[in-house]
Amino acid sequence: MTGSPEYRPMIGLEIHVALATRSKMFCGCSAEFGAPPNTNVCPVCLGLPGSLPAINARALELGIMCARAVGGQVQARMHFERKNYHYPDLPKGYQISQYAVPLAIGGEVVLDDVEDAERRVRIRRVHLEEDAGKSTHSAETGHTLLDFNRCGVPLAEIVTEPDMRSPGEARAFLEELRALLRVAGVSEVRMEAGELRCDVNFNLVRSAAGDGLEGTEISEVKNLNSFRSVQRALEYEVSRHREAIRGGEPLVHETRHWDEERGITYAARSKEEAHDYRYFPEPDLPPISVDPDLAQYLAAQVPELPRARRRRFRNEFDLGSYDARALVSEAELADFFEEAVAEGADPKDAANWILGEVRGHLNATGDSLADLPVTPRMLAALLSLVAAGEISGTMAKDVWSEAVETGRDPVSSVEESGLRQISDEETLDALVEEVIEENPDAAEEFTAGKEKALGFLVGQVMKKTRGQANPQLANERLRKALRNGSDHR
Amino acid sequence: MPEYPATALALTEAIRDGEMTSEEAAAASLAAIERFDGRLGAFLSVGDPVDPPVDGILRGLPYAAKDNLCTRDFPTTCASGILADYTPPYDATAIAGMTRAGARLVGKTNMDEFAMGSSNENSGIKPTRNPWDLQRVPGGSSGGSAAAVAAGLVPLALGTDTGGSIRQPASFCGITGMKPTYGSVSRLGLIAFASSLDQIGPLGRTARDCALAMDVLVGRDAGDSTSIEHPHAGQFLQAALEERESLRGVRIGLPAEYYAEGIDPEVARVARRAAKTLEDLGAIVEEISLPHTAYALPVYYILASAEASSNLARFDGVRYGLRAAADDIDDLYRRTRGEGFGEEVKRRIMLGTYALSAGYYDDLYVKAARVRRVMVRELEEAFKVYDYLLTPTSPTPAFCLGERTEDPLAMYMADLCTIPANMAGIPAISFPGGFVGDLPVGVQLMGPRLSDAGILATADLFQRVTDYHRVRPPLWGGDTS
Repeated sequence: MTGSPEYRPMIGLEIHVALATRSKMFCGCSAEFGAPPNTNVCPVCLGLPGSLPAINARALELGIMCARAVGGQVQARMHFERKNYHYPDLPKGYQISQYAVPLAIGGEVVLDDVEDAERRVRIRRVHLEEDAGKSTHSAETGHTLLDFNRCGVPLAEIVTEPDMRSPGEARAFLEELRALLRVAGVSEVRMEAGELRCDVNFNLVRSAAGDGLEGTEISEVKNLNSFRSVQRALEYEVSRHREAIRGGEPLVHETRHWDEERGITYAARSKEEAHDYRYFPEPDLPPISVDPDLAQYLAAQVPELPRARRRRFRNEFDLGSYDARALVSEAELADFFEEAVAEGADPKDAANWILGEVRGHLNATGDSLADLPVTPRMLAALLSLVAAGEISGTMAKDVWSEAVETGRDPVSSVEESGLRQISDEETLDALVEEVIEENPDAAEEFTAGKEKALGFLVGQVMKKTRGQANPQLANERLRKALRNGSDHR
Repeated sequence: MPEYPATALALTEAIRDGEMTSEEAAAASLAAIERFDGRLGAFLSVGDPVDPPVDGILRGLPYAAKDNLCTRDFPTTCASGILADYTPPYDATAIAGMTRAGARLVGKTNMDEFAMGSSNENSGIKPTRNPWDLQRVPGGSSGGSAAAVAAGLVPLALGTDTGGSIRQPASFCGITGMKPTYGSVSRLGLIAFASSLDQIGPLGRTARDCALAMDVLVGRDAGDSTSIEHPHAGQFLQAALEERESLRGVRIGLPAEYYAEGIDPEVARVARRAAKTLEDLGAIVEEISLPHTAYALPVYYILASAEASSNLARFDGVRYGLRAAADDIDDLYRRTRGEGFGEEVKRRIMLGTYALSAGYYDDLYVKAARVRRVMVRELEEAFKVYDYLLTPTSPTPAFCLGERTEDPLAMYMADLCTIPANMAGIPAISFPGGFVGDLPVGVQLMGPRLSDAGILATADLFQRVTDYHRVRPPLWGGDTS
């Protein structure tokens, strides 16, 4: 071997996901986001003296489904622990979390279509914990305002192995994870509601003597709340570590924060790092034994996961990988697609329509598909009219828009407004004859070889039918009539 | 002032039979508190019951509750500066249960701060004195509840027991106190000291009064995940009252370690004499050995302090209770906790924090938890052979105020015999077994998990053939009975 091998990024993630329960993890308060400050609180989530936690069974169930969605092995017996630290938005002075025995161990998420190679990101563990409240520091007044609504909202923490090799791959993993969690019904993963937050562990490594690795000291960047921030923070760290290697500067293992505006990371105060969380088993909650039947039942509740579904869309419906990925990334689009196909729509037409018309509308309006009055059956019927040539694509779009607005069945719109295309050959042939007779010059020009004259004649047919003639068929029948006519002459 | 029946059972019967009204009962209690508590210091807050009594088995019964049980109508301070003037927005499940049964709370009782102590001298407000001798402590940490019952200020009081805090003061004050099986009584609304050990229980004159209270207190509460369905819920009094002449066939073990060095020989003699009484009732009494008892104190002080260090973290000056003037958040924590907590509480927070710290966790917390399991197994083995174990409740009678305050270890010794029951979560009762000089001395009966009804019935049988529980403190005797 000659020379030193190249350094490459090594990235691990810790992701906190808010589970989609109605109430909080250890009390009956609503877990809803966006309520006025300190309205969804009670003695338990405020940590008032004498209060005790009682676990929300749904949080445990969603946790189990979350673990299954990433392929984790749910532990038959687990317990909660207290993670002790002082912070004003942590009212008990400890967070109820898991440590020695988490909810699930192991698992993996496969990223396909990333640089054309399948990449596997191994999952180390999934554990449950409660969220803390929210502190808002006011630079103006120097005060800190505390909102405890979020306190006690159930979170799943998913910890990966350091298997990602580029900032883009970390982002692709997060996108895949978000799709997984949505499909599994574990979380809505609304980023704007802080329902997914991410810590990254990063360093640069290269192969060293033996089978080992050598690398820079690990940087931990905490509390990133968008995929873009994760990618940007990692890109910043890649160049920071590369420069350190080039300049021969030593790096230290440290916690860093991301400054979104300046686009840089900066070291946390050393005090923030010096935590000894003094974990110990939570004495207020007995250990939990997960009934294997329940675990199995819950695993069965996890629907087909995105990767499998993409594969099936490619194989079963012959979709391209772009279309398959685009549909599956939004479960409601994929469901609508499958139902439309089941109602007889051509898969490719349906995919094009959904990714064009439907998704375009949703993106433009911010609506969700469930809010719209259209059904897969309507789409299937409409597409078969188009396929049969009974209406034009443009017409189809018009009646579909109307359906989206009013819920009016597009096929009835077609019928009632007489928009249905005239595709009947006999009817058309009669009109063609009329047009030829009324426009002998143009007919002459075409038979003399002037192709352009046919366009004029087709236009006349369309005019006679107020646009209802199938233009392609009109074209065909005209050609035929004129050719026959010339033979006569 | 109306005459005040000696027991809760008699008082509730008198009210039921129309011989006394609820108002008269409350007034009698409040008058006695007014008259005597200035010298005794058993109460931290006192007040007329607001609502008329509910019709239940305790209708009209005035009672007191230790000040670590949350009450809407009274401040709940844990006798700590950090919670001075704090009034919770809810009633503890135990308090709500008493109210539903018709009992009426007349006051909150003094205690060692956050239930940490064995003499009530750690109260951040004032010491409580022993009604048998005002120079002596009433025991702790439920010292106020014990002194109030012993002095006849209330017929019944609630306490909490983490390492002996009901039984040891019951012993010092010559009354009966019961620590139920862990999980029998909901801890919801009990301001936690050590969650895995804490249990609420009654203090009364007799085992029957304790059984009466247990009928109200015991029950599964979904709000406390460690609470259990007790097979004898609602049947404790019935079990205590059951006609039973003898203890024939009942096997009682006397663990030698509880009668050995460190135990006042006079106290040990009282316990042996009580054993003889049970033997005379037909029980088979045998000496046994529980060698791991020696580890009870160190294991307890590691585990209880570890849990306490975490349970008390919430008192930070941010949301309720004392808030010291401060420059920034760290300063706020330091000053609030520095000013608000007393010496013993700080000592245990430090000890517990240390036991959980990286590098010490395995050697202290983990090892202590393991030894706890060994001790529990040892007790379980003993209960395969013996129905109950009989021991002294505390190594000595009540000691003098100030006698042990300079020596925490000497103070900790007071809980030597009571800690194992908390470790194992088993029920234990202390009832008057005799006197050493002029001071009452309790004996402790422990049984396996869920044998609460059995130990109450056995203590009741003892009280049918003895009079120790009827002797009143001489200072108060003329005034209160």
